[in-house]
Amino acid sequence: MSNFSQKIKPALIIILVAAVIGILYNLVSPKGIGLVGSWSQQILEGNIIVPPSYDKTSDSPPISLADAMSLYNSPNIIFIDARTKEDYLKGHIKGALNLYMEEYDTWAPKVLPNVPKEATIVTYCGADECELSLFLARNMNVDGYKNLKIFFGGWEEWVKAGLPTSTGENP
Amino acid sequence: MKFLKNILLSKHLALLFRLFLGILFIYASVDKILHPAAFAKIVYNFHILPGFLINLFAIILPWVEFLLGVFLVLGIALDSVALLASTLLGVFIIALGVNLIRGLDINCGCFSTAPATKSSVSKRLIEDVIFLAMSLQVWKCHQGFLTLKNLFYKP
Repeated sequence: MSNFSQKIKPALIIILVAAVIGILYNLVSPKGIGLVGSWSQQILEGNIIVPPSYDKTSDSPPISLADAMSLYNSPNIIFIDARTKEDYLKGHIKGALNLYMEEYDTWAPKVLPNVPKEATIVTYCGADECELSLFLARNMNVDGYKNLKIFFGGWEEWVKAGLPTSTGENP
Repeated sequence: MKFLKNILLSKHLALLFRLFLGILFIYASVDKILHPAAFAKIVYNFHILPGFLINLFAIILPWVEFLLGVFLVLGIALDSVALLASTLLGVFIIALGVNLIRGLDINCGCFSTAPATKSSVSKRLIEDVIFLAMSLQVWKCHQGFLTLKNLFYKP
């Protein structure tokens, strides 16, 4: 037993030293984060679940599955899938364009020339856990799109509801 | 058969595993240290830790990995370091396994914080089981071979 505790002690010291270095580094690093973050999902009016990083005051409005469905059938609506090309090819909302959010600067010049500024845009990604749709809406807002909506339920809710989907390169 | 057993339990193989795991831990830690917010998001995606612990975990864990990596390569306090590495890998396996059963699509964040490099949970799980086996071999078989202590201190 004492032999085992002799092995545990240095392991605990390593964890302690790592904690001290980590916290100090985090304090001085420009990319440092708060020691305690806000990590609970928010539930907005209409039972719409949005990620912790969603800001009610400045972000584009979130829409529910029912909103997304009724918008889907109205004119001048463009759905944009913010996930990777790989995910998009496997399956996406029928008619949606693909603009992978993590590489916005390379994708936007290819995709956005076909998207009129006055169109209503619905961004979506995997499910309400995912933030790509939120960040895409933020970027597009900066690029002059003002009629943006975020469908946080995303691909997962859409598929569960049995709504129109498509695979491969075809929108 | 005995020959195979001798190889599997040899201190030379332990040295090889030690260096491999050490470099792996260092490599895995750097991206997390550089992008703490992205790593915290990955920790959140696992849905295992309570919210108030997520950032603290994301700040400390990469440095534990980094120190483990350095100590494995140099061969410092190998018994404890290999034990800690095995425990850590065991925890990763449980966390990945829980989410595999839950069917959550998470980015494991083992090597990178970019979603583009997301790989399937099961593949990561298999990798971690192999790493755990290596780490346990190091723990049991290293015999202090080519460690910092034994290079400079001859009893």
